[in-house]
Amino acid sequence: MRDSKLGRVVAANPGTLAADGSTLAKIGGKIPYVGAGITAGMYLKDGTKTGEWGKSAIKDFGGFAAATVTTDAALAGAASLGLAGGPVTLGAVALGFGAAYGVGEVVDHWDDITHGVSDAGKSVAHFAGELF
Amino acid sequence: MTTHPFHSTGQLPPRPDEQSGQPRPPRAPRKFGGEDATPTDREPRKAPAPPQQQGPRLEWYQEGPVGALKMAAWALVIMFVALVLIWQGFEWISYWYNWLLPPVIASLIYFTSRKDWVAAGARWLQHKSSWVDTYDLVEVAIGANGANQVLKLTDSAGRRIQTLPLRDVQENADLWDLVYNGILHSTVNGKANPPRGTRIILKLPGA
Repeated sequence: MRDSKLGRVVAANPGTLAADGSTLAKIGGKIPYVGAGITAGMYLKDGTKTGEWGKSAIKDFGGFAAATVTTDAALAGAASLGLAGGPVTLGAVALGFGAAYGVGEVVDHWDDITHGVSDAGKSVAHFAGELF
Repeated sequence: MTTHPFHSTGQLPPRPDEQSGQPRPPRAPRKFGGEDATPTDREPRKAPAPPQQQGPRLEWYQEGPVGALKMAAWALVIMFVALVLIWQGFEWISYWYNWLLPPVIASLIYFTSRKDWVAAGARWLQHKSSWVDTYDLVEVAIGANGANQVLKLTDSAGRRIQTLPLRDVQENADLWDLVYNGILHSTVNGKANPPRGTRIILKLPGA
């Protein structure tokens, strides 16, 4: 098994399932391009399905920006702790995906959130009014 | 990861001769262990000139046309799979604009891969058109740039390399050996004071 190609892939870098130096591992250095492509794909789908191209742009490209910033910060943080390598990159990218998902959820539920904040504000104002 | 002789003997390996590159430094520890060697069957494509009066280029790393095509092919596959997942099926094929995405991303990856350039002489490192004197470094640090951990180097003349992916500089082991020996000398001689995290990652003394 270890001498097989699959064996080398798994043994060399179990965190990424891509052996160091392999084409797939090298693609790891190009994640921003692939991420931008996937983001564009999500934007086209959301825009096509909802017709809300502006909202879709904020949701998907905002998510991409959040993912980029989060991944960058996670990798910088890992470096300051002395962590590097394929699994670290994979973890940072996963955090980035989480950030992108969070932005998508906020945009999708923006009306609920603002409505909730407005209601909370009214409650606080009412409470304050009762006190004074 | 390999054990560097410095850590068992405390002796710094000698600096290689500026012209001949001999003696070559011992094998340096790496986080990303590619097997790419400096190609002998092709010349680099649109390579920047080596820094003047610093000795010849001894090792270099640039993705070849076959490697770049393989990466582009992987990108095509990843994009098609992503479209199927995003649309939860094959409805996407009926919208023409979706067909543009995979080839555009694959082309971007092909051309950016072919443009990447890292080269080293006995005492210098070049990334794109920037270069530093590896034996006169005052800053050695690992940071991040997007999804890459990058090596940040500054020499005493103020020359800087700031966004060199660690993966790219370690891909060619012979090239990394030359660079690492300079980083080790700069650190042990007290010119550079890398942060603790960087020392741990690069297996430098004082971690």
